[in-house]
Amino acid sequence: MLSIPGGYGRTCDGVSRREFMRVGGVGLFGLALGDVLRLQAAPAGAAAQAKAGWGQAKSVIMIFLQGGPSHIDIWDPKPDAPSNIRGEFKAIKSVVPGIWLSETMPLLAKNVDKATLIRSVSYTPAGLFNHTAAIYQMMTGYTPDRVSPSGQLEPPSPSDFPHMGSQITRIRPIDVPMLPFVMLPRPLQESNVVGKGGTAGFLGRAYDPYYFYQDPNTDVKLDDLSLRQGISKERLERRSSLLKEVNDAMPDLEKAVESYALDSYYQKAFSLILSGKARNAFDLTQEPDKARERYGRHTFGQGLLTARRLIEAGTRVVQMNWPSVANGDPNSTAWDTHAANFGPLRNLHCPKLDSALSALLEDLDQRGLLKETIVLAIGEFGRSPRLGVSTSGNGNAPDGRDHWPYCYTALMAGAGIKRGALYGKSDATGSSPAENPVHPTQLLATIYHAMGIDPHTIVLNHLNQPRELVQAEPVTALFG
Amino acid sequence: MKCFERRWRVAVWACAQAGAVSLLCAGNARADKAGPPPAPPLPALESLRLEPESLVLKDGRDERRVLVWGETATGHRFDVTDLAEWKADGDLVKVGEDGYLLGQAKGETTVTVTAGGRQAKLAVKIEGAELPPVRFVRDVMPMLSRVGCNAGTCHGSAKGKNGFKLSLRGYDPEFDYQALINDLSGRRFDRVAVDESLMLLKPTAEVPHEGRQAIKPGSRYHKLLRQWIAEGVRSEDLEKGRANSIEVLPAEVNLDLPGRAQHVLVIAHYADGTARDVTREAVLSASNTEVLAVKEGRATALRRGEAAILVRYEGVYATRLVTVMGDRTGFVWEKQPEFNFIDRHVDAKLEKLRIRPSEICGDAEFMRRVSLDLTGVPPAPEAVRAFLADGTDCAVKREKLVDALVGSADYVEYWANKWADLLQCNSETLGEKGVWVFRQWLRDALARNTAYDQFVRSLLLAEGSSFKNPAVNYYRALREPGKIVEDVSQTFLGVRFNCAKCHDHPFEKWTQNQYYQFGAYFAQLGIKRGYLGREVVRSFTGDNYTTSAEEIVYRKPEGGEVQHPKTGMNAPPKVPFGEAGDAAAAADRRESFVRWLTSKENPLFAKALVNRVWSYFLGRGIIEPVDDIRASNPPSNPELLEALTEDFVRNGFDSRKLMRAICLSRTYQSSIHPNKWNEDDLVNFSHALPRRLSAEQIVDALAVATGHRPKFPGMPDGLRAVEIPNGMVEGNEFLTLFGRPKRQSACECERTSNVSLAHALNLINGNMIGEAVQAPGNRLAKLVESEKEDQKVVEDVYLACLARPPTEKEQALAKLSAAPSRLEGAQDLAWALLNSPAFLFNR
Repeated sequence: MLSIPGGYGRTCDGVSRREFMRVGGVGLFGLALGDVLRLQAAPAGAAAQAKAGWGQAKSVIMIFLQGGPSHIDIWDPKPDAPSNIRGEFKAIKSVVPGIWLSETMPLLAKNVDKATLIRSVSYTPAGLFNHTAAIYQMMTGYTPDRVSPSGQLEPPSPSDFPHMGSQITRIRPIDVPMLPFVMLPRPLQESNVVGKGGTAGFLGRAYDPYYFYQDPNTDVKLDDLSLRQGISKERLERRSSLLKEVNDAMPDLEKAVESYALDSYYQKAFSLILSGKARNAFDLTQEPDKARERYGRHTFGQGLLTARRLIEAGTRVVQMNWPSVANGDPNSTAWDTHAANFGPLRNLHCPKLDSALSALLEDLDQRGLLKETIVLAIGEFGRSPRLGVSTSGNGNAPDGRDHWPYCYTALMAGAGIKRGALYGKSDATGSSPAENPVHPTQLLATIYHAMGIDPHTIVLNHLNQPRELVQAEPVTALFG
Repeated sequence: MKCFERRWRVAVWACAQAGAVSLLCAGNARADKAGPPPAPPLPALESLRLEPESLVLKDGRDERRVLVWGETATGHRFDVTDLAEWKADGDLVKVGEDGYLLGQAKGETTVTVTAGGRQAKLAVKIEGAELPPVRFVRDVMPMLSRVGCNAGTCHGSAKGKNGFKLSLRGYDPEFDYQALINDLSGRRFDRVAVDESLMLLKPTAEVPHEGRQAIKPGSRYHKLLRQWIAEGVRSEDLEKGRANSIEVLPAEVNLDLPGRAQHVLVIAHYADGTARDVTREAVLSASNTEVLAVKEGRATALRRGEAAILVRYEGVYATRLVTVMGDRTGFVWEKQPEFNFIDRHVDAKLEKLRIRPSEICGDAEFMRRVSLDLTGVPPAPEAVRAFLADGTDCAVKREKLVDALVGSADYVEYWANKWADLLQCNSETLGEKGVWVFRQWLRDALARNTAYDQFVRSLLLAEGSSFKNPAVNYYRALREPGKIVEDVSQTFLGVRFNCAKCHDHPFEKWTQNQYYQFGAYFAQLGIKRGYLGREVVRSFTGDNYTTSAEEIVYRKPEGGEVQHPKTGMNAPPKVPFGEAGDAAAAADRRESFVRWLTSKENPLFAKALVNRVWSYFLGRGIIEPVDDIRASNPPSNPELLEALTEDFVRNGFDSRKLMRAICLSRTYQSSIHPNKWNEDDLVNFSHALPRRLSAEQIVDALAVATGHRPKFPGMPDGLRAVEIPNGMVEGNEFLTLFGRPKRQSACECERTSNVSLAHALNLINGNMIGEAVQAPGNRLAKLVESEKEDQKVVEDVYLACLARPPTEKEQALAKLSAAPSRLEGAQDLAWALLNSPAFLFNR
């Protein structure tokens, strides 16, 4: 059974027969003209559906803490470990008996009853130990296979694996004139490698996120999203059809620039401008001051508030990136605390994370949005339990912590994820999982599952080769 | 080579077959359910040929194999090594299962090779069969690398594993030898009860080993290791043990169809004149995994295209280009006209790959393209009319146009802007006055057409006040030896050196020593506060610092050194390849560096610039990315790059002559419209690639189209976008959105040229096009006022926006009367043209 109400399709409906759907021309959102989405639902879909948590989410908020925050100093304190592991922070009780957090998270401690902490996220890097390789894996579910001589990844390429948000918004297009997938407020980045892992890759540019790279804690520029003064709706529509005529008269040129997906962008852009929904979602002046204060008057806080507004307005996937270059200076913005750990965490980064994340959980819950929104907060890795040692080849200050992918913590909430729970456990020093290890790709699988998408769904890449969304199983024990 | 098929054909099906994936494997392997295509049938063979045709086996460890070629009646060759059966004549030589020949006793013999029903004889001379002593660097290290002991995830990690640390991928053999011999008080070896050695028990997993069984008992590696221990774990002189070079056979790899495979042999050559087959120890990979799969010394074609097999053996590198032809039935090469030497080299490649180049583009297209590429602005409508009306020979008038554009005032501005990008002309580090004087210096150099080597010379040897000698602003932007090393090498050699800051390059020849030795040339430079100006600037890029607007770059009288972070010792000035003069002999260390850098003999200096300039005109470097030249990133057309480089050096490093030659080639003038035989080609320049206009080009082209110039905050009125001297432009999001770099890095990648939803929103609805079209008294308003005939208005709007007249069909479509007023009609038409790819792209 396959229906296309209003031109957007529900897929993976568990019926084992093949159907073809022509989506071009019937809907403006999520799919380019002329696309053919070939669907085949197999019995596995039924098996997946039977598992807990299937299809409870309508939208996703990915809070990506690029840079790699120290799990011990935030989510997984080790008060009984030796001082060169324990660090400077004390553990505090949370509102949930048995869940202790670092003293850096006082507000989250009051709201952790809405979320599950997964303290056994773990993987062993296939190759390089750097940020970009790890980020790419977290975003796409695959490890990169091309590395530049700088030891970093090559810049984004059209043959990259797609970001999870691109996959989701392609399979689950939205039915309102809104931005399907938004990434804010700055790109994924390590040194000069900008945006790797943050694109639609082989799905084509039409599925790229809308990159809202502005600081939401300032007066953002929204002119482009609302009708220009002096241009009526009718005139814009007239221009739109004139543009189509002009382009149709140059078919060869249109073909030559096909890979830029201009048509799809222009169609989306026209509808967005005419509806004004996106403009309003980004306009934080419509929020009461109290709410803005609660999230925190900083880029990260106002960014998460924007994320909530976007989800409310119909956006399917929002990714909020930590507003710093992954390997930036810890003393100003970055989680990458090789050179200094405790000062920056105490004074700069943790207060922002604490206020914004706790506010988001509280806010989504109060508005009833948490029931249908799955939230994941995670970095590309944690940090070395032992202070001042080198694990990545980088130099570290005596109180610095290096990259640590072998064990770290993720926070998940919403769409049926257990409230006030722990899943998995790290060992006494937070060095490796003591039980229930979870690979980061399993978290992606869990999100797909929550969205009602079988994580093993096959998508054809640019060479028509079949590729699974992600090669991992969802952690259905998280739901309950 | 194959372009990305954007057909949006996508299949989704829930996958029942995809079983559970274990945690460890998840995400580590790409889901390639398709696998390589099946091998196509082999044509009938006439004869066999062996490569090499005979073998000499020096000793009992000199194992060799040969490639077996099958030749058809038409003279085509196919690798049939896989099919070969080996039969030795007598017992002098033994043939292993893997096809390796091992001498058993001194003497001469023949081995009969049979494949595809044909036979060949291999003459083998065995000079000795005894096992030579095992040496650490030559024998043991490659095995440790091959087995993976020194991989980043095992003992090569920064902390080692379980108390045993080796250098990452064996870049420091001395360290590794000491680690093996001395750690654990030497307990790794039992020279008496050899088999009890930890070094044998661990890798064979006879005692618990986290890395499991890495070496099988009784295997070749096991015997080697055992012999080494029995002989007393000896090492040799590092230089003697390391391979000097590696040779890859065959010399050329041409595969006809997907699925076809080719064996390669890797031979290491040593300082003492000996050689050894190291195929089994070398690391082989493919530069393009979509075209080629490489596994165990065997490359399999996946689809039509080109790729390189990258070979790495103990710090020595080689590449072998592979062409996969695919099915080209029906292709006939037609000799193309050669406008100059460029076309000869491009065509040679196209003919070889059976690609038919596109036709040359029309006059209007050429004029717009070459004007944008040389000067950053499209031609004015009057100029287009005149050019199209000019009845002289197409080649003559195009040449005349190029000569008029090269060196023009617009040319000077455009290229000054380009160099301001590369040299990081940015007020955050240089201050307001700094960016203006530096920009003026660049403009002067371009107006005088200073030879490129001289230009770089005066830049890198600059000293003095930033106001009096603006060239020193480059050092002000870079500030410290590390950034100087990284940016000077990336900008002027096209080489990325930054990873060598912390460790030897994992895949290339650059070492950490070289990084600091390179830096030593700049260790004696100081930057101090000048007396003029009160402005204070602060950097956000490196360490924070404050400074005055005027700074003085000087040589510190007390000297200065760069310390290697591992040893803490001063690094002596030394160039990373080739030979530079004695730095100590010169008053200024930079002198010998710059002489080496800008020398005609420097293999990268001219080449890097030529490749970069080529990419600005053709949309892609012959080596791409242009600032990432390395053995593992080979040029798509080496002969072309060589010829351009030679021409450039012969012409005295004259950039104008280089650009002129490029613009006058047929290759540059080809159309963007592909044909059946080149539509999948993106790297061989068989058709032009449409390129999105840069941020500055869009703004300046809008001014040509509408007569309206936007005002940039803090800049004088009427300034073209390309004239803005500063990387930071406050209050103009358009420039930022469309990818104008802030100029904080040496990377070409800092400038972007993508298209996204945000771009579409801005073009449709933003201020830039909106205001230009609507501005009272702009070109459109005047035109509608003065020109009463609608047809003429339409023609003029097309000429102004797209640098061509409308076609009849377009003329018929454009009805100004459809709008409430003629002005609105003209505005809407201009708006539509400015939003079309014909405007947004250089095509």
